[in-house]
Amino acid sequence: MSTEKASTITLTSNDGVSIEVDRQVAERSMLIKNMMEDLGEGATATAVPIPNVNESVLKKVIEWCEHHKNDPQPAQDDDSDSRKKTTDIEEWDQKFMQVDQEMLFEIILASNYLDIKPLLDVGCKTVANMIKGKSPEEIRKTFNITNDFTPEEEEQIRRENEWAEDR
Amino acid sequence: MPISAVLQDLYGPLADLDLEKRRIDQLQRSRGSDRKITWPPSDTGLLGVANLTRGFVFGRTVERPLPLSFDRVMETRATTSTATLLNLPVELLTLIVRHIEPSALANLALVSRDCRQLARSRQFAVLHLDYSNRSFQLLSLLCRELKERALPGSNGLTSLPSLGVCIQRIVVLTSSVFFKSAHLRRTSLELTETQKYDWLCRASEVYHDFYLGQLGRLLSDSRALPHLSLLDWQDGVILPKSFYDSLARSNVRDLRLFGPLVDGVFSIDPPNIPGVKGWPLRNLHINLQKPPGRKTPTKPKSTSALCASILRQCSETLESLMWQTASAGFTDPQSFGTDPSKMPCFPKLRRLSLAGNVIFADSATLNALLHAPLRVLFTNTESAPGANTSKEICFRERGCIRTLETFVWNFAHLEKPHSMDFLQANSHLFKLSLCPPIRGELLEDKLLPLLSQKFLSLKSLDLTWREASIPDSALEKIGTIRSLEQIQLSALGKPGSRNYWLVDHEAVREHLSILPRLTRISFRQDAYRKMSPDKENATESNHPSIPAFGEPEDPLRDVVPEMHAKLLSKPGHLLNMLNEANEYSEVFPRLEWIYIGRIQMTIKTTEGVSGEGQLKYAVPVSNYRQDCTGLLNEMFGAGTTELEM
Repeated sequence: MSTEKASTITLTSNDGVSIEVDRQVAERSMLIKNMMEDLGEGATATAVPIPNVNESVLKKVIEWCEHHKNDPQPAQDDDSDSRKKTTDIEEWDQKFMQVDQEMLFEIILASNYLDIKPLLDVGCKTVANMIKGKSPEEIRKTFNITNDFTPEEEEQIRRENEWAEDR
Repeated sequence: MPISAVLQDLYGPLADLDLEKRRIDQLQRSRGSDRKITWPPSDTGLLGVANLTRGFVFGRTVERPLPLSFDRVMETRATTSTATLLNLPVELLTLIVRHIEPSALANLALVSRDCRQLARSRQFAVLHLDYSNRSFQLLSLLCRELKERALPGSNGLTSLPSLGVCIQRIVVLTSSVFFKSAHLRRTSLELTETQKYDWLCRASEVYHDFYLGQLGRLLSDSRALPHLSLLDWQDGVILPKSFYDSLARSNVRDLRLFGPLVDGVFSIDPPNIPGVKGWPLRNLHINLQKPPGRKTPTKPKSTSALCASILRQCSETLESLMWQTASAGFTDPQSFGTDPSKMPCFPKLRRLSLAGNVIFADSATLNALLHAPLRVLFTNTESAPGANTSKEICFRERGCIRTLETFVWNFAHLEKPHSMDFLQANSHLFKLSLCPPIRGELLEDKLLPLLSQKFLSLKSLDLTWREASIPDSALEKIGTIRSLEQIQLSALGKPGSRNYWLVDHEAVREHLSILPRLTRISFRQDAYRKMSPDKENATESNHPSIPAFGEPEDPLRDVVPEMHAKLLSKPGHLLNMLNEANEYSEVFPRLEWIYIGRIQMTIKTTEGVSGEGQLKYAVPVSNYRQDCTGLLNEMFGAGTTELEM
């Protein structure tokens, strides 16, 4: 098999930087995979513009895809699974997600745009974990949210929290 | 249902209440109440009937739906926050909220108004009304929200984001503990009979006028609970017409009326909501009950008018109907009336379950249901005693239902002439389940030959022999139904065996292994001789080609050593079942799943080059015996009529 040349494609970030990637790696993105399938072999010759993602985020996403290139493709309908218990993230991914918050949200947005479900999942779990075990004030600080409650409202919420089902 | 227990506990057997009728008049006079209390207390109606019917669904739960998205729980409000998190696209925010640990939701709710709505979309997706203090407080809060929405200039919105908007499902199931503690200050022992009755009346007033009244108001105004789609009613109390009318005006599309009592003849009013035709229910489970045992001569009231009016209002949208009727000994024929021009049509009805022996007053009513494009049908085809119509004739005349895929058949007699006509007319079925145990002779002479010659697409079969076991000759005949992909077998067992039977697995393997497509096998009520103590951990295998677990030549030992070690430490029964399952997997090349000795197992294949190097082995889904009723019902029967949302 002539794996070398035909199996790489070029992605162009929205700040105009071209990055060469193994096709197998790039195809972790369902968006790119479908595009390749639609366009056929000719597509590998031209650069694929990724208009919503800048260079640093794109590189980060490619790094993730590189590491996970041999993972089995996720099932189309794994809604029920991911709904269950899942705040555990594998170690490599945890390290990978140790980035500043801006980058974290950029990765989430990029993986959503590029349709890389497992990466999107890891990103969302990471954000969910940032809420876990924190006090309301700590959550406000973490996400830069302003407290807009009146004291009466806060009192009401404390009561309401006692009534909640999912807890 | 708990209420009956409370009342019985307080008041002794319900029947005794009849003797107390005179006291009510007394009581009423003494309380100077202008509220009319009749006996039996139809307008109080707190008497439960649960012990009659609840058993088989006891403990069922309503699944948590996915939380509503942020924009929906905010209604038309925009987020005021500039935080990146709260300005993510809503679908991503929903994904994040789904991953938040339940314990973290309370603190998230205390962060800001926006975050509170996010947390609430999970915290209050399902509301359990159990008569606790919490239930009362929530109902009051929701009523206050509704008032706010009704204020002029509010545009139908609450001033702050609402809780009502987050609720998607409501379960009404009163807990006896909460019911008692809400109404009882002293122990029942200290109460005189009159006091007890007084207590009952007061409790009933609170339940009906206040609790139910509030819920009714919330339901009837679609603004109060805009995303409520499911109501699971499980309280065994008398529901008045006004409550049904409120329900019909609600946003509920999946309704389970499980056990409400009917003590009056009435029909629901057309809801007349602008822009909505009728009551667009998708799934309906009706199980109405008559008030519990009385000595009074009043006849239980017919539920036909109520059922027919509900079904008429939702006929165009209904996809699934599970219809059960009243308690034993009460004939309650159902009818849509006899005017053929007013018969409802059910163009979307896919699942129909009449398993509760609903009796029809006329064949036109049953025909209206049978002419729907049914895929799944669970019914008997014979007239119940006391019915005027001949169900047999209806089914025979209906003949082939082209859309039908699954038929779960409950019958009393197969011997009668024409009893199999309806089945015969539907030879295109995929799935057939015969509920009652059948005489082996009948199976072998009539049914199995019929299935093998005519039912060329039959993929799933579920049979129970009335005898002690399944004879070889019958297994041989099953082996001729070549299209089968899954099979469930059972037998009644020897007298005194409590319906457990001994399976000759060798024979099953020998005769069924010629079925080329078989992927799933299930044995129900299969029993095994207890091993003598020294053989408790025996690992012998009857199959020459497969060494048992633990033997030196057991190939699994090298291929999956970790799992192998784990399995070796299992108790004898599991090990024996694993060995049996492994022998099945050897003989049935496509086997993927087996339920044997009440243990569910999946069949895995070891990695390696296809062919020689590969090994198949059974992996237990759990290490304990499990009844798996729901799963088996889903797999081999009609499944649940519970929603598919």
